[in-house]
Amino acid sequence: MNFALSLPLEHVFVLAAALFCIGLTGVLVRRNVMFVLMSLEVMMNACGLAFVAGGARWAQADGQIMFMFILALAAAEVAVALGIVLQLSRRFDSLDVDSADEMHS
Amino acid sequence: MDALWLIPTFPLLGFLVLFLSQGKLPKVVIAIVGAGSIGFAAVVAVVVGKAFMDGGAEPHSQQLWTWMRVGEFVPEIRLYLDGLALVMTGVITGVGFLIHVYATGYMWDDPEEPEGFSRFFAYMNLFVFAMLMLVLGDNLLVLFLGWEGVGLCSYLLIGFYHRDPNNGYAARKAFVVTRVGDTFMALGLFLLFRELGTTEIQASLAAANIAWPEGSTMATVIGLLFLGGAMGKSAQVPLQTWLPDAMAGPTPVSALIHAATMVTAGVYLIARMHDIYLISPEAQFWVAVTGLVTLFISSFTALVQTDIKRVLAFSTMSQIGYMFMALGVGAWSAAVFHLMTHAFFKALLFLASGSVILALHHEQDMFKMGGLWRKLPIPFVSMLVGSIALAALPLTSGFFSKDAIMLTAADNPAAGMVFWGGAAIAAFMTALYTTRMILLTFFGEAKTAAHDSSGWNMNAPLIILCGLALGGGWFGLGIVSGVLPDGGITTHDHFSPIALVTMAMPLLGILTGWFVFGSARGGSTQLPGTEFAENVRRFWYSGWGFDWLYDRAVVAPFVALARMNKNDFVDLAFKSTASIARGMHHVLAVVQNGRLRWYAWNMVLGLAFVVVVVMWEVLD
Amino acid sequence: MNILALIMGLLAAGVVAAFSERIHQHAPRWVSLIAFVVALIYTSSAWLGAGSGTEEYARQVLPWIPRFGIQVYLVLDGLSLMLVALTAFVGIVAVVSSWSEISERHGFFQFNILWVMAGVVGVFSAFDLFLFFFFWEVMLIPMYFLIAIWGHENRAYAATKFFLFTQISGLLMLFAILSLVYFNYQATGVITFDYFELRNASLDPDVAWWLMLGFFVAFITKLPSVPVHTWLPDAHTQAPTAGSVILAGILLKTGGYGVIRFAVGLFPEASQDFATVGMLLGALSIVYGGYMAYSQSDFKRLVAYSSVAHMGFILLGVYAFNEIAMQGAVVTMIAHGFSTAALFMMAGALQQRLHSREMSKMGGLWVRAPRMGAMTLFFVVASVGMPGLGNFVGEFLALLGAFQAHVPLTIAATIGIVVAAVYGLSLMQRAFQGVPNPDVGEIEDFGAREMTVMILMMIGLVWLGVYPQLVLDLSAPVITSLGVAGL
Repeated sequence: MNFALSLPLEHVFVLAAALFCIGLTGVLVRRNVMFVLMSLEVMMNACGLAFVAGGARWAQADGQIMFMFILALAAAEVAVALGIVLQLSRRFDSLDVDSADEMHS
Repeated sequence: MDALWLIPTFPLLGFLVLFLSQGKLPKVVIAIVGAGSIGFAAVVAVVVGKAFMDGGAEPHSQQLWTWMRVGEFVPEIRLYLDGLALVMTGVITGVGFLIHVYATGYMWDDPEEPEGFSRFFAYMNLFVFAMLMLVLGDNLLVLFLGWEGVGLCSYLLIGFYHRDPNNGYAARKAFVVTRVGDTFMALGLFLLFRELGTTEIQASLAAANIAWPEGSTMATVIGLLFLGGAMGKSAQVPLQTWLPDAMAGPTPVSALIHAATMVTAGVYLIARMHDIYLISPEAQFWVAVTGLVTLFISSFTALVQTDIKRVLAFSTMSQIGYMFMALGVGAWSAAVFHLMTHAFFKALLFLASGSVILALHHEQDMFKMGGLWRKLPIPFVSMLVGSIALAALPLTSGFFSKDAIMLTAADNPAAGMVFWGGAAIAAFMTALYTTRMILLTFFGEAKTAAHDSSGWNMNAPLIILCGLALGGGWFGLGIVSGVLPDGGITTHDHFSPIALVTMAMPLLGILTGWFVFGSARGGSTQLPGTEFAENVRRFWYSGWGFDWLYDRAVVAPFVALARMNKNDFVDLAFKSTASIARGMHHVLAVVQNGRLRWYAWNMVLGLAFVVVVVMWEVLD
Repeated sequence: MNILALIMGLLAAGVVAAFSERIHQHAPRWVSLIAFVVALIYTSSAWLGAGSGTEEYARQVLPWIPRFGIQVYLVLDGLSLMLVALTAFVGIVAVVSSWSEISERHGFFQFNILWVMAGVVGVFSAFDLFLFFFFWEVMLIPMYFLIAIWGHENRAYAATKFFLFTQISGLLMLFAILSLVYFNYQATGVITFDYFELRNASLDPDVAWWLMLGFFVAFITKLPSVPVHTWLPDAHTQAPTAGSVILAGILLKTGGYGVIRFAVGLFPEASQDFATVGMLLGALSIVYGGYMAYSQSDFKRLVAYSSVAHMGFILLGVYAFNEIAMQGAVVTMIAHGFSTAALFMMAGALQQRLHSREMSKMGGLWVRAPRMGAMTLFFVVASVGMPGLGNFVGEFLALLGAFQAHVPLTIAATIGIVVAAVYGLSLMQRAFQGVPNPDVGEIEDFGAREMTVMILMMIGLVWLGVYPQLVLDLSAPVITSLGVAGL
């Protein structure tokens, strides 16, 4: 079952891993909350890519189903996250995540 | 005879009435209840005593109820009357009644405690009740009830003027020091019960005679433990330091509790338990030594006191020392005899000094008295009579008893001459300090104005006691002969050389006193004024340094340690557990810094760590 | 008599009290008072109704969780009965002593008092180990609230400390209970929490020793004994008056009761091996507790430490393993219930009047309030161990019995009676005697309400002191059934 292109699975996984690392780096180093969220989005899509590729490789529906979940999750996340972003900018007058470090002992 | 139970009941009722009425009765009623209850008890004691004598002085016991029943331990509340108990009961109720009557006058307008009249008589009645239980109880536990009860009343009455913290301190000291003795006594009781299985006095003595051979260690240990108890209550060396301070109480209290009755409880205890000491001559010997040391030390101390009541307090210690020595050398009856005569003349001395003190508006310093014999004739005569009895001039009551003691002591095989010699020196000193007291108080120039306000209720007891102090010696003491092992007072040859010396010592003391203190007529406060003499005087004055020693060796470390450990070092263990937990909390709280990226980093590193570990395992 | 009804009644009265506050602010205390009076009458009638020689006054067995052999197994024998009666009486004292002290949440306050007491009644009557542990916890939580909500300046610390000590030691006991059931199940194949069944469990001596230790630690923490006593002074000092009264009057006795009933009752041989340690802790508590009492300047702390000393006599008596000493321990429990409850009531009354517990701020109070002075004197004298009053009988019997078992430790403990005199009289001196403190104005003396309770306790102590036979007869069959040798 090898329709469309016969992209080796490894290549897709390498791409997914690279995307994941890029996203992760963004999360770890960016201070602007918008960029952090975008980086998270990249990480999730990296996972989604891996799932889709895996599903295609073994011809199972699971991969696509998982991707659907990730989409739903991303939508929910964005809804909540944008609320947080709004609160952050309203309360701290900034989009810097470190400005909300009030929980230190 | 069946009315025996009434004797302690009357004082108890008196106490209850006075206690429950909370001082709301009129003063006259309080006086009648307070003194009357003891009067009734005295009347019953006379009736019972007569029945006892008519019945051939056979011991009689009356069962009231069983205190408790726990396995083999079944102490009964039972009263037991024999000659010894009767003598004690007579002294307690008779002298007690006179002192109560006197107190109705003495305490009537008390400036320091105007509202304490009822409280005073409540405590006094309770005391008499406890003292009667002590001498009438047929069980060591009942005796112990009375023993602790009199200690409590002593505490309450010493601290009667409770506004002055010094009095409170004196009262606590008296209670705590006697409690030390009580601890010994309690241990003796435990041991006695363990060995003999009973705490009944008569039964245990009978059992002891069967169970223990002469010289038995057990008897010695028990005898010494009881001696420890007696030392505390009777103010014998080394537990004597509380008695002089106990003079903080009102003077009738000193007369009743700290002269006539409670302080002789130790003598009673040893006389009552005499079988133990017969089995163990060693314990008995130590009784004599205790008495000798005390009578010697305190007679010197009495000589240099300035407070009239303290002179009498040290004199009391010294006289009780004579009683202990008598018990120790086997002059059992003479000890009890001296107990009785001492109760007469020492109560008399205290009450007479009370009249003087009252007339001088609570002035107790003898150097501020003087020249009072004209103004206070009745107290003067009483004091004089009491003094010659105390000094044991021939034919007074004190003479008969003290003479019997000293002559028996001289016959003691162990250390007769030491006992006799010490006692003779003390007899000389007794006469000396007594003379000094009389001269300072009643002769010389007057230094403080006196107002004799004593009525018949104060004078009548003095006069009656004068009669007893003079003639009390003629009673003899036949009734104890059946109880005590020596079968009555041993008669001695009154014209042997040693007897003549014994008789001469007091006379010598009086003469010396007249020359030393009489010439200056109270002006000289001390012996010749060299520095050495002054140091000796100070040493004697302090009661031979016992208080100094105890303060440093016991009280000061006790208090210092208590201050140091106020917060309980045991709690440190738990508090440090809590601090360790709190410290860990602070360490861990650092990671909770609220920075999102810090958390993310941690997550990544943690994950990486897990992955590495898992890979490691897999690859292995 | 229906024990379950008594417990349920107290619990229900608690709920009623909580809601009755809506009717009137002072309704709860009346509900509470009536509940305790009824409980006392109910218990006493069971006692008086039974003939002499009765060994069991009530017994109720209901299934609860049959699968694990857990029952509602309630029995009142002599020991339990007298302690339940004491509980009801201390309840009355507690309510009266806090009559006008509480200014907020009256309903919840009385609710807590009633629930503690219901728990205590349960502890004294439960013969199913699971049920026992259940009640053990039931009495803990309301007590925590009493201290934490109505306590004084440092209440949070004290309440937490109390909770932690009791809870951790309770955990050890729970572990011991479960292990005991498990070992019994291994031996017999039956899961049961029944006290009488478990008494007959055959255990390896080493195992029995460890299990006994679990119970022992829990109970001596509650008692408390040195060295786990340090929660008591804090809890007492910070608790409201009713809390202190309950704590000293009855809660500590659950520890003594537990030692007798469970530590010794379930593991007689192991306890016998342990006797010297038990007596040592007892003697240590007597002397050290008394000494610490002397060191204090806070009225309540002093009385709290004196409780440690008195509880030492219980430990000493129980582990002497003879009838006399054990009876001494039982009498001490009852007598201490009266004398210390009274002293804490006094401390509460003084704090209410002077707003201080510091004795340096007292002094000379006898002049201002002679009735309070006389009452304090009486109860101090009782706790010093004056013959003729209840405490003496208990302490004397405990010492007399202990002397037969271990002489040096008894001598050490006897020194405690001197120390008792030192701290007792120093309390009296510092608070009531001496020059009246000029900073203290007129204070109100005890009124009829307080005096009634005080006089009841006085009568109790005198009665116990001159004729303790009724109490001794109640506990005698229990002590015999423990297999303690007579003398």
